Amino acid sequence: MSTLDYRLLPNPYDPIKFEKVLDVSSNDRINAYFVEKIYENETYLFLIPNNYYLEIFWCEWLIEYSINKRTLVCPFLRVATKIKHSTGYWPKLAIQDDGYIFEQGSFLKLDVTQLIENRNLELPEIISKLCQKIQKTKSDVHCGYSDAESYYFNELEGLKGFSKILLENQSELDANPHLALNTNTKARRLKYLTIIAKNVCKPIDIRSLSIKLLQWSKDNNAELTRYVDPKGAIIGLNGVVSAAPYIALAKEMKLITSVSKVIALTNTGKSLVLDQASNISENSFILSDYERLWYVYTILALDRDLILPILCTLQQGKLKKSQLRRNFKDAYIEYLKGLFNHAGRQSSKRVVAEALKRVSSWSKAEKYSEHLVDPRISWLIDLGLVVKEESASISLTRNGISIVELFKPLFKEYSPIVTEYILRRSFFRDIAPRIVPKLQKVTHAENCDKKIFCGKLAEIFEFVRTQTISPIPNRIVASTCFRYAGLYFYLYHNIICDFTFLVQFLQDQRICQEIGWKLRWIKSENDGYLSK
Amino acid sequence: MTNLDKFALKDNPFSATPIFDEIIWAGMNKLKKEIERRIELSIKTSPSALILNFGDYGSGKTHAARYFTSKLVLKELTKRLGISQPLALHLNLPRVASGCPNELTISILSKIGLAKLKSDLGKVKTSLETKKTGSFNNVLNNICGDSELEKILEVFLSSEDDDLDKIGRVLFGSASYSDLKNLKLTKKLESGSDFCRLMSTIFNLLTYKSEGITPVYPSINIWIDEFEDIKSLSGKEQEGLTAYLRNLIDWSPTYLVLFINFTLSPINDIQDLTVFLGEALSSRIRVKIEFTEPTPEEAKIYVNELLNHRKWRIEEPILKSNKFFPFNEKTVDFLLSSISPRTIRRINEIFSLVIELALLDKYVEEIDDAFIKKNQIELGLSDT
Repeated sequence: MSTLDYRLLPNPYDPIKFEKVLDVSSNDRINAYFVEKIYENETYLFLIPNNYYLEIFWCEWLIEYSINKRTLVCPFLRVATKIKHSTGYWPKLAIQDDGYIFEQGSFLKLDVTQLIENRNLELPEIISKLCQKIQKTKSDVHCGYSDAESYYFNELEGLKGFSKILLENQSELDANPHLALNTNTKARRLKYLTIIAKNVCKPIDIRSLSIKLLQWSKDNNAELTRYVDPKGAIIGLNGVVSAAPYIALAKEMKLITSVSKVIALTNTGKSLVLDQASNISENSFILSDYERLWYVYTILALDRDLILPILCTLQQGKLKKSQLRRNFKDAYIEYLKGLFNHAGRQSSKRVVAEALKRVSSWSKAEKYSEHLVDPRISWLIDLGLVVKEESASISLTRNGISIVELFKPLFKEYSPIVTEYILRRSFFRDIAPRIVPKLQKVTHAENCDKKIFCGKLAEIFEFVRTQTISPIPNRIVASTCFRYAGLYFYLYHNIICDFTFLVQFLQDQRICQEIGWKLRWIKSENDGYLSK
Repeated sequence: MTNLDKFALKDNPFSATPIFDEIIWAGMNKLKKEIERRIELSIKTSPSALILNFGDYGSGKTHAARYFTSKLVLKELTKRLGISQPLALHLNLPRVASGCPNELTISILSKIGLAKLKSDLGKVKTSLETKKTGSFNNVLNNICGDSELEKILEVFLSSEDDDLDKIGRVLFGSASYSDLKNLKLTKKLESGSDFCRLMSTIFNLLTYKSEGITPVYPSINIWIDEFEDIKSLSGKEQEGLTAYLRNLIDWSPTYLVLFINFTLSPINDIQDLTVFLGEALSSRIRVKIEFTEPTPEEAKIYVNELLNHRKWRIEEPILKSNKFFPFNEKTVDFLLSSISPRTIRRINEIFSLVIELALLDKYVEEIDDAFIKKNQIELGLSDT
């Protein structure tokens, strides 16, 4: 079978000698042998170069470049990590062309020679033992791969699944692997958070803020009783403390922060209150489109790992709340297991493992779930993603189903999980249309007429400047501006303009000159300034 | 250390952080004049002032603080302006879990030095007593209004050198019961208000002037650096500190200037800095000085002046045709347009690295565009 004229490998390692027990093919273009072995119903491919010494590479064909290659490559990274831990060296990883134009094409190869413990064995046994070791390592969910991903960045650059975007996303995921807001079961209505933000435009002490919130609650109490989900009222009889759960939630969502003795609006909170559109709705607890999009973004960015498993649970169909609370534990555990696979570092895996341990130990699951599930169901009702029927069953709305469909692939191993990094890149492209669908045609910002777009941006920046209180004149925070701009463009001009696009757009000095504003982006802080 | 003679330099002039000895100011003339004007006004006009210096990291705020508190610099400046030298101190914002006002007071007293302070206050007393016996106590009483605190200052002024440590502990707020007993004092300084009253009394005395009495100092300039660190303090300490500074200005209504260096950063979460300063302090800000990014032209002047400062430059004939030697002038333009952000620190970092790389390359006689492009990646410059 061999077309190789010179077989250089030592006898115990010569694949041709073992053709009857191993599936061997030779490739004289790359002067190597391919050996295929089925081990416990899985096929393993090895490349053995025709040399005087034995080298073995574990391989996989790359049929097409796609994001799913992540599923293929991550096991290789785990094995590489294992070799690094045991030898102190990263093994060679490369994408190699097989030298033929019309056949397979390229393959990924990883040098697994260091995994061979006993070189006195013959090749078939060596291969079997390698298969055993590789199988054990590649399915070891405790083995991280983020370090390997960083180390082999250049080698994997060609693979779409290992783009810089996913690498950075993975990095952000590992920095904050478990995102869940601390919530009080009383904090049900998102509208109160908007009212809090609007009352903190100037710094205010907590007591005064509570009084204002109580007053608004009192003035709108009748509306709450008529609302689709009349829970979460701030009861005036209990005094200012009844406002505390909402103030705490507003802090958790980074709308407001404490400074010395006062509460102040954050740069994030500022972007919520900038909307000038007059939103007269039939009920004061109904969120405007602007608010809905704002809260969806914020909740995905900060509460992803509770809101998504709840949405997942609702995939099952209409559920009574008690059923939802009962089913939530298992759904949450499954979700956390998936999250564990996504975590790329030991430290991030530990965080998720701790959450898994906590949830698994819930003895009265329904009781624990109630505190987590109930307020979030109310939020999802406010966001229009979930509806409560007269029978008290809860189900996903059409928008809710659309969102779940979008996030479904996330639960597959190795697929990218959403972090704020992804939200900044594609919230308006991928998510906003599912929350506030547009009947008219939408345009992507990069396809807009540049002059008109720059003109609108200049107006937005000028508007934000007039709304900014600061002893420093003519300077506005980029994140506040860009979040507002994205919402403004989408809602009022049908333009998709994501955060990251604006950061890149404003790197061009000519654009800055046209707009009259210069962006100073501070990478380490993931934010920046615009100054006139 | 490979010598820089071939580049007509005694040393690498681009230090990334401000240096201590013979502090130099290069370029940035507009900013320099603005600060000089403030110092001049602090002496020529009496009202105390709070000045906010704001800018990005690396924009030169700390350098300005060091420069304008340097005795050599102030000597030359005041001689040029025909005024006498103020007392100028450069401090960092205290970062302690508790007792920030106490910490700030200790910093100020330590910077002045207890022996020097005793000597300076002694001069005030002597001047007043020479004019009229008992007048020092009257003045002290008018300024201070706290008899126990006045007693502490009187004991300080009349203390022997051996007792300076005891009275020092009293001033620092760390006196023991036996210290107080030995010095026959009843009050221990504890509250922020106590420390503020102490400092404002001292400042008022040091700048006291009246007919026939020349002040020890024409004004006092205090530079507080890294003020943005206030965010890391607890709410209670933030409040204590801003109250201290507000009272200091109010209780020292003449000839005191506080320069507050504040680095802007979105990481503060809040755009409105008045929240950190507190309304009381914010409302007292007289002037805001922005440390902006230099324009390419300003940056070029900065590079030129630094390269050719007598501290570093060796006079060589080549300088007649190229004052930017060892850089080619076009290369300086290219570098300055490529650096982003174009802060002084970043300019120093890049130019310093370029010189070091050129030094290691024995074939380089002049640093030109080709050399920069060759080392683009190492310099972290974008592809142009």
